[in-house]
Amino acid sequence: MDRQALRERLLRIVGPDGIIDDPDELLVYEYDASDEVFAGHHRPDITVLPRTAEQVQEIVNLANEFGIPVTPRGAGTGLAGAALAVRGGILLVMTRMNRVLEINERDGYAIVEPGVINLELSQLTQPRGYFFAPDPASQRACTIGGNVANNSGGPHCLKYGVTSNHILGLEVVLPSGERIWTGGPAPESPGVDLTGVLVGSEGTLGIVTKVMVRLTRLPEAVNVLLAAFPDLESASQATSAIIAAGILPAALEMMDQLTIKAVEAAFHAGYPEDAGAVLLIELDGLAEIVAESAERVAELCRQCGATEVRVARTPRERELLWLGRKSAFGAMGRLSPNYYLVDTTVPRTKLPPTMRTVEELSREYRLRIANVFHAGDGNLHPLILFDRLVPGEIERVLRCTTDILQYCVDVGGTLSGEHGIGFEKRDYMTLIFTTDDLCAMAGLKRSFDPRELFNPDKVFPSGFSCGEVNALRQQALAQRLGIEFV
Amino acid sequence: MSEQAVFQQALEHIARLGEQREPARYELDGRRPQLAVAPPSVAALQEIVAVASQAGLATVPWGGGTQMGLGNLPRAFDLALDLRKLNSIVQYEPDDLTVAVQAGCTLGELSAKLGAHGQMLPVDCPTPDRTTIGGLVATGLSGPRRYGYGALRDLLIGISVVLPNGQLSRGGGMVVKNVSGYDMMRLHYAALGSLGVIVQLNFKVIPKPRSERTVVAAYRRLADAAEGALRIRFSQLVPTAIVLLDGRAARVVGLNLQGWVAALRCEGPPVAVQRQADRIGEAVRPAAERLDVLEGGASERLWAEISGAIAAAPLDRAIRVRIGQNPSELPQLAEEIDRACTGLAVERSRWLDIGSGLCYTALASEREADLRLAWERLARLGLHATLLSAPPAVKVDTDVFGREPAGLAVMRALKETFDPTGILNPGRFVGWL
Amino acid sequence: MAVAEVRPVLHGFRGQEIPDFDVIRSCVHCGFCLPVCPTYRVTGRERSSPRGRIWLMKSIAEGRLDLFDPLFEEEMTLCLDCRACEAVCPSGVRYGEILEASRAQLVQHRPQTVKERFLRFLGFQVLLGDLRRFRAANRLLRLYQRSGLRALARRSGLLRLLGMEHADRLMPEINDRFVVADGSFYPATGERRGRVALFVGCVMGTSYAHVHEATIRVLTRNGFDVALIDGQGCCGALHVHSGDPESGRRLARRNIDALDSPYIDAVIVNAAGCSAVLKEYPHLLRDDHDYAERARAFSAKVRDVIEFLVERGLSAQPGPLPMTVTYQEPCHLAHAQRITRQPRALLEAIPELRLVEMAESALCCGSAGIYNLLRPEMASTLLERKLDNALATGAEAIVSANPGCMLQLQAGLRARGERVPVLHLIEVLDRAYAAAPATRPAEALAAD
Ligand SMILES: Cc1cc2nc3c(=O)[nH]c(=O)nc-3n(C[C@H](O)[C@H](O)[C@H](O)COP(=O)(O)OP(=O)(O)OC[C@H]3O[C@@H](n4cnc5c(N)ncnc54)[C@H](O)[C@@H]3O)c2cc1C
Ligand SMILES: Cc1cc2nc3c(=O)[nH]c(=O)nc-3n(C[C@H](O)[C@H](O)[C@H](O)COP(=O)(O)OP(=O)(O)OC[C@H]3O[C@@H](n4cnc5c(N)ncnc54)[C@H](O)[C@@H]3O)c2cc1C
Ligand code: SF4
Ligand code: SF4
Repeated sequence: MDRQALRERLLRIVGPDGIIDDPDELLVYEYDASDEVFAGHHRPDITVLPRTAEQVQEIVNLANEFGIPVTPRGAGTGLAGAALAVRGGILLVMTRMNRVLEINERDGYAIVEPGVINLELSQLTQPRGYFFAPDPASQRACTIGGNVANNSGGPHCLKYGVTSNHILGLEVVLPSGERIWTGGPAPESPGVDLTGVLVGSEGTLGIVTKVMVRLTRLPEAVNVLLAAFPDLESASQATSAIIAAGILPAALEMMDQLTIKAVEAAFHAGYPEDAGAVLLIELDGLAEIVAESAERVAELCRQCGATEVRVARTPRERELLWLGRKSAFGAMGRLSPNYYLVDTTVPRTKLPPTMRTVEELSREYRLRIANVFHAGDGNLHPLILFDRLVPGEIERVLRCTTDILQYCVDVGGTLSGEHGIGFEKRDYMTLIFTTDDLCAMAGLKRSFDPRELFNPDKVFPSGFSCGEVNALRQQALAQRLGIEFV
Repeated sequence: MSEQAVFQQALEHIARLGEQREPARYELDGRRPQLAVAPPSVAALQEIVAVASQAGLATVPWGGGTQMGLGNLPRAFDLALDLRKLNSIVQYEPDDLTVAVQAGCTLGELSAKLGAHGQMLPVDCPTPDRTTIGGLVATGLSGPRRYGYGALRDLLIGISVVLPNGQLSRGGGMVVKNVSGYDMMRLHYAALGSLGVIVQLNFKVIPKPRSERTVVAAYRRLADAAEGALRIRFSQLVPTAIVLLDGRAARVVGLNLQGWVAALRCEGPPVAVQRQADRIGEAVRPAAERLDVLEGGASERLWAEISGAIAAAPLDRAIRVRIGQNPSELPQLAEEIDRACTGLAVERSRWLDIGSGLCYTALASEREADLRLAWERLARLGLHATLLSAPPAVKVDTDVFGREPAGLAVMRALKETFDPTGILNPGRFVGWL
Repeated sequence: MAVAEVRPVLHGFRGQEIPDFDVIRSCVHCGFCLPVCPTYRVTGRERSSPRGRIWLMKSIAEGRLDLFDPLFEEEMTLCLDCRACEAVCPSGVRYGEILEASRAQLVQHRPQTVKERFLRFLGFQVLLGDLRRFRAANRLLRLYQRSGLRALARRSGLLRLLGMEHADRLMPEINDRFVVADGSFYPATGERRGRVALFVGCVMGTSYAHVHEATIRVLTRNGFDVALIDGQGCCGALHVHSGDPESGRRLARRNIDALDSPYIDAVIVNAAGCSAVLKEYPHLLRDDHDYAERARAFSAKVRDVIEFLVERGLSAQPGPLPMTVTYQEPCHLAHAQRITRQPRALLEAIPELRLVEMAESALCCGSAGIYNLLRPEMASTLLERKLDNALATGAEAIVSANPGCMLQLQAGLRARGERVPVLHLIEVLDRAYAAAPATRPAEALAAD
């Protein structure tokens, strides 16, 4: 690669302020929010900060010309190392494209650039009676582009669905350099649902330059309940009971004792410290339904053994109850220098045995594990606490993680509920997918990006290739049938 | 071996792999296949598809056959692949609200099973005993209830597809939240079976509402009807469907009313439904000529009728068109449709799905030329337009999916990657892929 | 999964004041702090973000970046030390601490530029080290401002030569009166609720003497005896923040000696920058045998006046003040001390006063101690942004609670020709009390 020539050309596109190629400064682009022990350090050859979709397109054309990889990046809050330039090349930081271009109140959508911060969009639309439903815990920092790429979730996705359900259309630059708008405000545009395929593709299929998001009407009434249980088991039962009763809360979150203690120590959110587990349940919708459901939920919790059920009456009380939950990951940072967050989903009814298994593994590997998670949709987040400077801990964390994932997969669960596969989890893909499954996904990738320029070495297991599989399969078929195909 | 010999040998081999059916019952846009076969197992299907792909047999997956009106005229049609023997409910976990079902299972069978546990897939259908789940997903048509529950695509959590090379490819899983790997569900949803044959679908299901009501309000003017419907859409009330029907459309679905009719559906616990229906009634009453509230079964039947009226069943002497537009601009679109029909001998009915942002129109005429002309005009309206169903003559030399969609190059690449010999529903999908 | 090599090797930082590696590595690079960091918001570059800066520190500690790398010095000085990052950090990273240690490293090991040395000398050693000298200098400055000297200096380009243009523009109009810690005592007027010591400080005591007067009136009115205990001095914030902890410690010991009295309930501070650092004395003096424990006891008594009033409640009802104001969060109140609710509570306690929140109220105004002198460009970018946000509210006054911020805002408004006044929150409260029916005429407080 002719670095000098590349630099010159990029300079003409984005100007000197849009390029970072000083090796020392590039140090700060070698990480994202994933744990460096597991994701490693990866320095790009050059970081580029575009301001317009046209610039992105020109940069992609250039990457094609020079045959170098492009890795898009939002705020770098991803937990799977998906925004790391593992093969070097261009790191395309999208944060300067942060304008809200249109808010359409009549039809309930907004068009934003990908660098807009999730929470800022909701704050902007709230006075107009709308919000953007996906609310990852990282919402005050992460970008809409990152949400789209990771198909991010959050507490309120239990009722409102994950990012994918809220994206109406995308302007993307494809690996070919083509820039297109997919989807639009009216649903069911004909053809392959490219919007749906691009959401969650972790920047490997296209670079998002504009996003048309659905805005959700603020509910008429909101009610938050906090229920304390003696143990995780009874809290899990209450979770199932609520869902089975046909109630769909806006959010249903669980915290275990270790988490409660940590949160209390750090923030004094007023959680009952002696509880074995708490559920935080938010109900929203029409005033009548919310009131009725709240009573029903409280009753179900008590039936399942809740020792205490609290109801937040004012917005301020609500905020306080949420504060503990939202700051929970951080509070863990105070318990231990490193933590590894395992993000996995199991069928909701498998939560109790899964929690027991996690507890057993915690003892077996002598690692403290805290649990704070989206119980309503079975999306758990065991946080394994460790210190990377203690010899041997990292290996134990790795083995423990593998065991947890394996167990979850065995009971019908999956590898990641919302954080993505990225770089870090890619080698686990074979736990749930066969070579054939992966080959089909590789076919999808190839159709978009035959030269593997966009965010290479992500999602697929290292060293994965399915070129030969096909040829062998055809030979076998021909032999068996005795037909010579032409 | 000559091409013809390969072709024959392949057909013979395929015929042995499944139960043969009468090809005459698989007519598609006036064409019949050489062979119709129903594979008894996924393994048999894999082999059939692999052979068909190698031999280049034009293959059309077939569910209930109720929506074969949608799609361009096929380039060729050698093999009908009837999937109704793959009809088991693979796994149903009522407590998890998830179900895995084979593609050939009918909506009726599935609904019965789910209903026993007070659950459902929120789709309405006039022909539940014929419509298959695979067909539902392959066509990707969802009715007005998508406003309240999302499209079926949003409930789809896992998929298994047999690709033309015979591979079984799976995506997603049996959990309601999953970002492991690409979203293969959305790749195949609404791809009209052009990239693979769907064999299994996993859904998250929804608790069946304990009651429902529909507020039906009749107006003299479209503007008043639209104003009321849009006001509700903009409010904090949460109906699950909002549709406006013109007089003729209303009569098609059994409502004997004049002018424009607004139908707003409420579902949920009885008390809440009642209160909401009251509040909606109050809000839309002022300009209305007449206001009715349908309860329970009557409400349910109305919506099944509406879904049937806007579906893609094959039609004679009529066409059905779906146009996408911003909800607030749908009333204007209804008037544009009127203007587009001036000078043509067509009778038109219009359904405006205000909740979703879609307009359906059915045009009937004895003169195919007028139907063709009408489609050509309608194809230019709104944000996108699809000819859901039409007599074959109207479909000649037009793309029923309307204007060329952005990203056609990628769609073509997908088709070439997954179906390199172009055997699945050849020519029927968007851009004649 | 590739496991990166564990790298416990620590070098790069050396000598005194080595940034605590455990604090550095408590950053899990989650990025939560990025959107609140003023410098990151302006440049959009990761290096100018808290996460980037911590990573640079870490790279030095791990020997992957040289301590003398200009990039590092640039970032350590571009940082405003506003600590917005610290307030939002879920992992509780004590950023201010490692930043100050990093700056101390630079001061130790880097030859200083002329400009910085000049400022350091003029600002810290000569002036703030000794309050009497500070007041004397202030009188000279007053003379300088009034006489033709200022015009002469400006014209001669002398200031530009010294890189002091901005300093001059920012210079507060010096008050005629000084409030001095001379042992004077002001008894509570209403029912007596306790006794407090007022921390006088340097800038507040001179340019903002009227704010001290207001503070004393508000406190006494609310039932507190107020003592101006002598022997106290500068809080040391500027020294600590710019990498000179040793001078900071000297000042801290002096203040503890002076103010650590069993006869007072609280040490009240009305400059957020000072209250913040007074509360950090335990960290500053952590290795000091004689003072570590005393510092803890002392700091436990320190209260920002706003915090204190809300903590103890107002016993006297303020009168109506029909005006619209907007509130500008001082970083060292909002971020370093997490006091955000209380100022609003006090403003809301005033009848007829309307508070209109400005956008980005928690984003630094660019003042940041002497930052505006050292990094004028970044400072003025932030100032303009702040003024735009503040003026967009249409408020009749901008309320703040820290002299640095107030100076910065006033300078900016003056340059724009805006007449909107900048008031200390206590002044506003004081005016409200003046409007209260039962108010006795405000007593003249002895100046000098
Ligand atoms: C403490 C903490 C809590 C979290 N909580 C949640 C949670 O509750 N739910 C959840 O889902 N996630 C959570 N996350 C993970 C993370 O915040 C989300 O995945 C987020 O969406 C990432 O956004 P980002 O802007 O930081 O993207 P980055 O991390 O920068 O990038 C993520 C991916 O997006 C791609 N990308 C970014 N921008 C574009 C673009 N414009 N076009 C194409 N691709 C792009 C990148 O290539 C990469 O693959 C959490 C993270 C942290 C640190
Ligand atoms: C506007 C509209 C709204 C509708 N709303 C609803 C609704 O709310 N609820 C509802 O139940 N129905 C609704 N329908 C009807 C629904 O879409 C059809 O009933 C269904 O798609 C037809 O199923 P089928 O089994 O008869 O498919 P068929 O008519 O047999 O096949 C349709 C197409 O799908 C392909 N196909 C079928 N099966 C497979 C497979 N397994 N793999 C690959 N490709 C396959 C075929 O090749 C064919 O091209 C609606 C239709 C329309 C037009
Ligand atoms: S918020 Fe705290 S842990 Fe997160 S990047 Fe900033 S300093 Fe590090
Ligand atoms: S102290 Fe202020 S300027 Fe410095 S890194 Fe933190 S937020 Fe940014």
